[in-house]
Amino acid sequence: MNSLIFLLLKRIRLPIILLFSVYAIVILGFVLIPGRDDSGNVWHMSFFHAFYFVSFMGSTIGFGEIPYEFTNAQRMWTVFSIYISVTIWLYSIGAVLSTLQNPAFKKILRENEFRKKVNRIKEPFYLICGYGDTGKLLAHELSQNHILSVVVDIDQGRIDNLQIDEQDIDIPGLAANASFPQVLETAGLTHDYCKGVIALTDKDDVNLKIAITARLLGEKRILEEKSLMIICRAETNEAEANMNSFGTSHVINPFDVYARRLALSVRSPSAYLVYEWLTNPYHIVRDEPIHPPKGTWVLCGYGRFGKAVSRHLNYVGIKTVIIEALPDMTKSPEGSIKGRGTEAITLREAKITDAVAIVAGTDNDANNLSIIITAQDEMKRYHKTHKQNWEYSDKYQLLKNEKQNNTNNRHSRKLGDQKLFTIARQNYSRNKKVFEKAELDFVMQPASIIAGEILSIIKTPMLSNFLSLARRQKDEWANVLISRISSFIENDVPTTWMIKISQEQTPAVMYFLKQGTITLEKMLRHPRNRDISINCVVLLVHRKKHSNPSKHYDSTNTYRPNKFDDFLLPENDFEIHKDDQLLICGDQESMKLMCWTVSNINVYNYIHTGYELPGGYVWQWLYKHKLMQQKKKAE
Amino acid sequence: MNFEKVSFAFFIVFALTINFGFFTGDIDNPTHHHIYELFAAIVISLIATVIKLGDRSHIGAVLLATSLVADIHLLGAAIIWGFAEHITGTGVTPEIMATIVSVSGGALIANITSVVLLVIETVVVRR
Repeated sequence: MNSLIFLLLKRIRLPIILLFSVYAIVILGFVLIPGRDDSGNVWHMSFFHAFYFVSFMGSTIGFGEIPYEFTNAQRMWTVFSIYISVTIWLYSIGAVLSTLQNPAFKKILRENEFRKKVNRIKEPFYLICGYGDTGKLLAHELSQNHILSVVVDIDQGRIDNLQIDEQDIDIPGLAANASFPQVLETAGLTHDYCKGVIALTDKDDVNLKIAITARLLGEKRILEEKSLMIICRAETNEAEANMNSFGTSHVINPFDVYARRLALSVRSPSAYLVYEWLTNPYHIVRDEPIHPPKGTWVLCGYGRFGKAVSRHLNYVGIKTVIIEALPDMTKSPEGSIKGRGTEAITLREAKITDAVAIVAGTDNDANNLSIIITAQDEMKRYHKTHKQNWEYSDKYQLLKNEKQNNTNNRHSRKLGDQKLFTIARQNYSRNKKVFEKAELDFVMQPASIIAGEILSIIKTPMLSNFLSLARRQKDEWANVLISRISSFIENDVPTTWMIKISQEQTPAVMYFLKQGTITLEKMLRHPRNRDISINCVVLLVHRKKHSNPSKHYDSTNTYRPNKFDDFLLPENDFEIHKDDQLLICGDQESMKLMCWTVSNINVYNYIHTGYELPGGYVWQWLYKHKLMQQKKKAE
Repeated sequence: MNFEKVSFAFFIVFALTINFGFFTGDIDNPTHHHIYELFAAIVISLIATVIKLGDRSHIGAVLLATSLVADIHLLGAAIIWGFAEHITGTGVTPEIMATIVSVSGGALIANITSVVLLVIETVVVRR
C-alpha cells in the first residue's frame, strides 16, 4: 500500500508545486493592485479576500467581483489569472489521471487488492498455478464443492476471465509468473490456511520450480504436521521422476493416466466402468461397459500420448501399428509408417481395413478429427467395393476358381457391420462441440483427466488407494461391484465420501464402540426404518496397523503401504475399530442420511438397538428401569 | 551538482529564513511583522512540503513531518490574522499580534529542525 502512495506522490509533485506557485503569484497580485471601494477611496484587497476570490475564480465557479466592483487594472490581472490557473488545473488533473492509468500503477493496484484478499482468507484453500483449460475446470469444480482456490497465471487476460467464469464466489486471481517464489508467497503459499499447491502450467520446468518452491517454503509446516499437499502436472517421464524425487505428493501425467485407463478398459471393461463412475464427474454416466475390440490398433501420432498408449496397450497384449509424421524425431519403433494419418493413402498403408480400432493422438485437434473421419470413410469404401465385388461375382457366376476369395469377402462383409472403434485426443476444451458431434467411442481430454484426478485426490484421498487395489482384481469382481452400485443408482451419478471413526466425525458411533463391537451392517441401516439399509456400498476400510502405534504419519502426503491395512469391499459383519477410515459409495441422499446417523446419538441408538432413546433424566431413569426388569425376566 | 538537490535545500533553507524574517521584532508590535512576509512564509513552506513528498527514506519521513508542523503553525497564524481582521472586527491589536508571532515561532522551531536534519543528511552522505 505504501509504495502506491509514494508512487502517486512522486508523479504529482511537479503539478502541485506549480499549482501552489501560481496561486501564490495570483493572490499576491490581487493584494498589491489597488482597487476602489464604493465611495471611490483607494482600497487594497486583504489576503483573505484575495484567497477567497482566487479560490472560486481558479476553479471557474465565478461568484463575481467582490467585495467592491473591480478597477480595470484588477480586471486585467483577473483575465491573466483565469487563463493561467485554469491551464494549471487542467495540467494537474491530467497528471493525476495519467498516473492512475499508468500500467505499472494499475499493476501495483491489482497486486495490492489481491494481497489483501488473500490475507483476509479464513478458510482452507488451494493455490492453483495456471488457469488454462485444466485450471479453469479445476477451479470451477472446487468452487462447486465449496472449496476455495487462489489462482495465479502469467496471462492477465485469463485472470480477467476468472472473474467472469466464477461469479458465485470471488476467487482471488493474480497475473504473474508462478515460477517466482515471491509471487507464490504473495499468493498465499505460506498462508496458514493454504492446504496445497497445484501446478498446472503447460511447462514442465515451471511446474517443477513451483513444486520445489512449495516444498522448501512449506518445510516449516511439515514439522507442525500441517504439511502442504503438492500436486503437479507433468507431461514427460523425466519431469515426473524429478518431481517424485523430492516428495511431491502427487504427480499427474495426463497421457499416462489415460493410457492406463485405456488399457484397463481393454483388459476389464467392467473395472473401467467402475473407474469412470467413481472418478469422472464430467461424463454422462454410461450404464453398460464398453468393450474395446481386441486386435490390431492403428495409432496416429507417436508423441507423448502415442508412446504412453502404445506401451500400455502392449502390456495388455494388443498389437499397434504406428503412423507418425516425424518418425526420426520421435524415435518411433521399427515398422512405423511415415505420414500424418490424415490422408487415405497413409491409412491404407497402415492396413486400416484389417485394424479394429484407430487412435488419433496428435497434438492438433483438426488433424485428429480428420484422421478419424478419413479412417471411417476408408472403412466404408472398402466394404462397399467388396460387397459389390461379391454381388457381381455371385450374379454372373464368375470367378468360380476364386471361390476361396468369395468366402473371404463374405467374411469381411460381416466385419463391415462392426464399426471401427475410434479414440481421439481433444487438446482444447473449446473444440468440445465438434468432438461430441463426431460420435467417438472415447475422447481423451487432458484437462478433464487432470482435473478429475486432482479433485478426487482433494475430496477423497482414499479413492486412489481403492482404485489401485481394484485394478488388480478380476473382471468378475468388478461385475459384482457394478451390479451392487447400479442396484441403487438410477439416473444419479454415484458419489463417494469418506468417514473416519473418531470423536469429531462420528461421536454417536464412538459412544457405542466403547460398549461393544459394531459391524458395518449396523452402521448402514436406514435412520427412519432400521429394517432396511441405506443405498450405499462400503468400498474400502483403511486401518492403521497396531504394531507401531507410536509413529504418526500424515496419510495424505506420503503413501506408506506398510503402516496400513486395507480391506477391499468388506462384508456386512466386518467389525469397525476406532480410527478406521471408510470409503463409501452411494447416492446423495444416503450420504446425508449417513452423516446424520453417525453424528446424532439418538438416531444412532435407534438403528443400533431399535429403541428410541429417552430424552430427559426422568425418562432415562424409567428406560433404565425397564431394561433392568427385562433382564430380570430373562433370567 | 544535481538540480533536484539544489532546489531541495533551497526551499528548506528559504522556508527557515523567511519565517525568521517574519518572527524577528517586538512580539506585540504590528509594525514589526508584515503580512506579506507571513504570506511568503506560507507559500514557501507549502512548496517545501510538496518537494519532500515521495521520499521513502527514514530521514525523508522526518523532514516531511517537520514541514507539516511548520505548515500547520503558519496557516494557524494566518487564520488568526484573518479572523481578527475580518470577523471579530477588532483589527490586529498588540495582543493578537503577540499570539500570531508566537505561533509563527513554533513554525520557526520546526523549520530549524528541518534544516538541522538536512545538514546531518548532507554530512552523512558526503558525496
